Amino acid sequence: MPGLYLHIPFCVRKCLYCDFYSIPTGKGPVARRLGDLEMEHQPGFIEALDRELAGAPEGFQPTTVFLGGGTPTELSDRDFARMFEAIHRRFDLSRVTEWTCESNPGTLTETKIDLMLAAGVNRVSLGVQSLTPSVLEFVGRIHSCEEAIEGYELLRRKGVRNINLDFMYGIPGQTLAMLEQDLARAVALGPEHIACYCLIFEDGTPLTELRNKGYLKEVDDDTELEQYQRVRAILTGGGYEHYEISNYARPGFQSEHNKLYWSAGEYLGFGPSAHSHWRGRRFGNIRNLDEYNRRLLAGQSVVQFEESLDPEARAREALVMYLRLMNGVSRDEFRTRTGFDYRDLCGDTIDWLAGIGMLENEGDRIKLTPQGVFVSDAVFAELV
Amino acid sequence: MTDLSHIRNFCIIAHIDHGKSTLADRLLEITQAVEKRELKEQLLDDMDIERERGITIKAHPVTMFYTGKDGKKYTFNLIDTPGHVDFSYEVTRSLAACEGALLVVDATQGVEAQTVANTFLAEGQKLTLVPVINKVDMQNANVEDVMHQIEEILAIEAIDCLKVSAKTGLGVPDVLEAIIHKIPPPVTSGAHTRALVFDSEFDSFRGVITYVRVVDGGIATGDRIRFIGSGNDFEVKEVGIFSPGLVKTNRLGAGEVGYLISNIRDPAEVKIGDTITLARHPATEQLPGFKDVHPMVFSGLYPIEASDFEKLRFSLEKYKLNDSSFTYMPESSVALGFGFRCGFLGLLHMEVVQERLRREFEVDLITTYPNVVYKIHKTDGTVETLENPSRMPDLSEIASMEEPMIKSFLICQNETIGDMLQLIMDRRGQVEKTDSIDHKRVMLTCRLPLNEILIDFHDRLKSISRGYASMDYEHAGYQESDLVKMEILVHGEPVEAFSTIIHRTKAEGRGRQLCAALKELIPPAMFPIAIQASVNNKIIARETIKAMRKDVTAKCYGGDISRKRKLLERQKEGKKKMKQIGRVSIPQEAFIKVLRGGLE
Repeated sequence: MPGLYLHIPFCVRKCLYCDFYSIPTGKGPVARRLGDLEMEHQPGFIEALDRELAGAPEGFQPTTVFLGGGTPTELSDRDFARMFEAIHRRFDLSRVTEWTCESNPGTLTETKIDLMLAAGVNRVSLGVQSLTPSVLEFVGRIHSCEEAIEGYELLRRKGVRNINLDFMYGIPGQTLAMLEQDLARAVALGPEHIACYCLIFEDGTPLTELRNKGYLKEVDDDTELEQYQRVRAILTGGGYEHYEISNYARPGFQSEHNKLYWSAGEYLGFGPSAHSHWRGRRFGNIRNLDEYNRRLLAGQSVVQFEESLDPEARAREALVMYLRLMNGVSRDEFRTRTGFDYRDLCGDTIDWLAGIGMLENEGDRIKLTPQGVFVSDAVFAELV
Repeated sequence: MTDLSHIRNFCIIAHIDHGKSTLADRLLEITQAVEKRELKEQLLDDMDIERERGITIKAHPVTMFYTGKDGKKYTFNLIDTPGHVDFSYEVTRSLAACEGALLVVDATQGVEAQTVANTFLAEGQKLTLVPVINKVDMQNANVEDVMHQIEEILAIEAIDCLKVSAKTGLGVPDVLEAIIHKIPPPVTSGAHTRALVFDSEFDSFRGVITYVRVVDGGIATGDRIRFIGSGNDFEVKEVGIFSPGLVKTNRLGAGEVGYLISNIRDPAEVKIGDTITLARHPATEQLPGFKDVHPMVFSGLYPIEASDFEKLRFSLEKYKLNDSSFTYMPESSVALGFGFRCGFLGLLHMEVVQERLRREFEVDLITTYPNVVYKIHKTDGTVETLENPSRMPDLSEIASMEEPMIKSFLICQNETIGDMLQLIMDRRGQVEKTDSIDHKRVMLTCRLPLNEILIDFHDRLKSISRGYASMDYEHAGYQESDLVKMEILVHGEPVEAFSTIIHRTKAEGRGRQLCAALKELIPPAMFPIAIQASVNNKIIARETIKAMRKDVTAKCYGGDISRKRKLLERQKEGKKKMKQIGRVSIPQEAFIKVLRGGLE
């Protein structure tokens, strides 16, 4: 049940915290309000992407598709349509059950939605991040709260039945009250899925630079923990199942594509900086659009990183990824997936982690305890 | 009998900056022993650390020729002494090579702690002391008071003492005359040759250059000599005097001071204080005062970069060539890796050596918290010396313990005496005597455990007195003491590297301090970590590191699982680099900070 991922490396502008590979196209809000929503066409990129798709392994038949970025809906309508056309032309999509397209409220139009739906997209992930104006402004989002809600409602009107909203906490200046209000409004909107991430200060982002220069301070751990606990309480109270560290879903709406990442599943990624896991090999593409285009048009490989782990290392990696899932992993499933018994790999460590209350180790399943979730990297570092 | 009436062997003793070097300069200038330019290198070769701490580097002896007002020609041998009593044994050997000493006191400062300590040492060697009040031309000179201090504190007749300005040369010719008339010439009695080894230096081409004062008989090139203490024989390749460089003569006679070279490659062969005699007519009796010196203070020296270990070993080897009182042997520490346990004569010796290694050999060092050498009386009646706290025997085997003491001379302003007494009490000291020096200053003679002045004492002294107090000390034997071994437990496990031997009354305070410091230095774990100080299995201090609150990666970098795995692996590696005590990871920094002792 492999997944297909496409990375569309364009954004109107980079958010302060973002370290994904994307190129800001620089259209200001004034131009957008005047209706000039089209970015320039990227014929070179679409053609390069098409060539990369053409090189996919024989017999690759995805069951999930995920269009991420960047902002896929930042493409011009024509390029957006050509991208879908290429996907359909290159792959057998007959087994696809979940097709997600990421978007953000500032770039979402009726035309885009129509194109998505026509192509088979059945899930839209909307990068809302917050419904508090000062917070949105601080992190550098291009949309307003009203636009976010309008975008959501537009998707509903157009008949999208599976919507994810992304939110964030741990943002400097964001109070617990702001966060609670954001999430209460989100729950009231009623999306099928909510992802709520703690802000990360990634190296090389403007956010981190601001912190390093002393212009802002990271939210302290105690506050973040409190916020995390509030997030969990509000969302589970609102009928969402907490199924991964940062992900919540109504029953039946967990993200099948993302679960591939957390369960040692296979997927092929296309586009600059996209990563793949295929036949025991992990590889990633070059993070440079021009170079990506140039190489593909010249018939060269765009793979820049590649590794084949030995089976045990692969199994350990699978274990810590599985443990991101709140339901953890059963001994049987783990053995089937990796060929290893996790007790053989690290039974003593598991017992110790269970002893200090980080893991639940009951019967033939292990998972993080509620206390273990927010220190899960420390737990994983013991197991990896 | 040889006529020695033309020879005068003397040294100059003074507190730092009272003008010892300047006076020496003038004497050499007047006797034209040295060009002015050479002088700088001969006598003013002080290192910063030594100047800061009131120690002067040892200079070569110098031989001067002077024609007195009586028309006779005299040979003066000026022998320098190390300025600090950490080197008291070496000081006494240098003093033993003299018949007299010029006691220089600054007319603007008066008698200071080092003046007192050095005077006592010189009197112990029965030297004739000639007081010289220096800087009498300064506006704030107070000659009357200083004379009074010399009589009161040092009990030396000062009525006709010399009043000079070494800087301008005022009164210096009188000093030369006083050397002739007040300091007695050497006397010789024995028929067999005996010469005192009072110093040595190592020359990479010529081997060990031995500094000698011939007491009886004489030594000539070609003689076979014997070191009575070590029993080793050598052939003399060269003898000579310091004038000021090495100047060959063919023979050194009784009363004379000079050097000899005899193809000795290992500096350890030449022990300061040993007696040289001639192999063919050996004297049987050694000159008095010879002893093997033992280090009083130990500390670990570790390279910061593990790869610098060989460089450090080489540097220590080279350093030891010119400092036989320094000892070292390899040791390893779980926390710091491979290094050396080094023995020093005292606190200042330790600081000087460490500083020299840093500056001259450019080795980055971690130096561990110093400790003194304890004596342990065991229940089976044996006595053990303990140089490394981690080797302390089990309590059940210990009947009693002794620690080394010092007798300290501490001179301070009257208004700071309250704080000084407090400091001395804090350091478990006892004031034995209080003498007022003048209407502004007082001298406290006190007894302190050596252990208590190793860290931070000097700095505290200077800060309390705003720089005015001076302090010197001499070793004062061992004394029974209520010492305990304090252990630090991290999450219930003892950490040997943090163990210390400490006086019972100090354990709780130090325990609290260590626990509090470690609380900041040890990263939080997934569980709360208890840090405890314990003495005899009783907890005397405790801190708790709260469990970590957050260590989570919210998002998962799309499909870039490799990145996530690598971050976790790096986290795991980072943990591995730390020392694991049970399930707690202690970073090297924590060991370094605690072992250095810089926790205040």
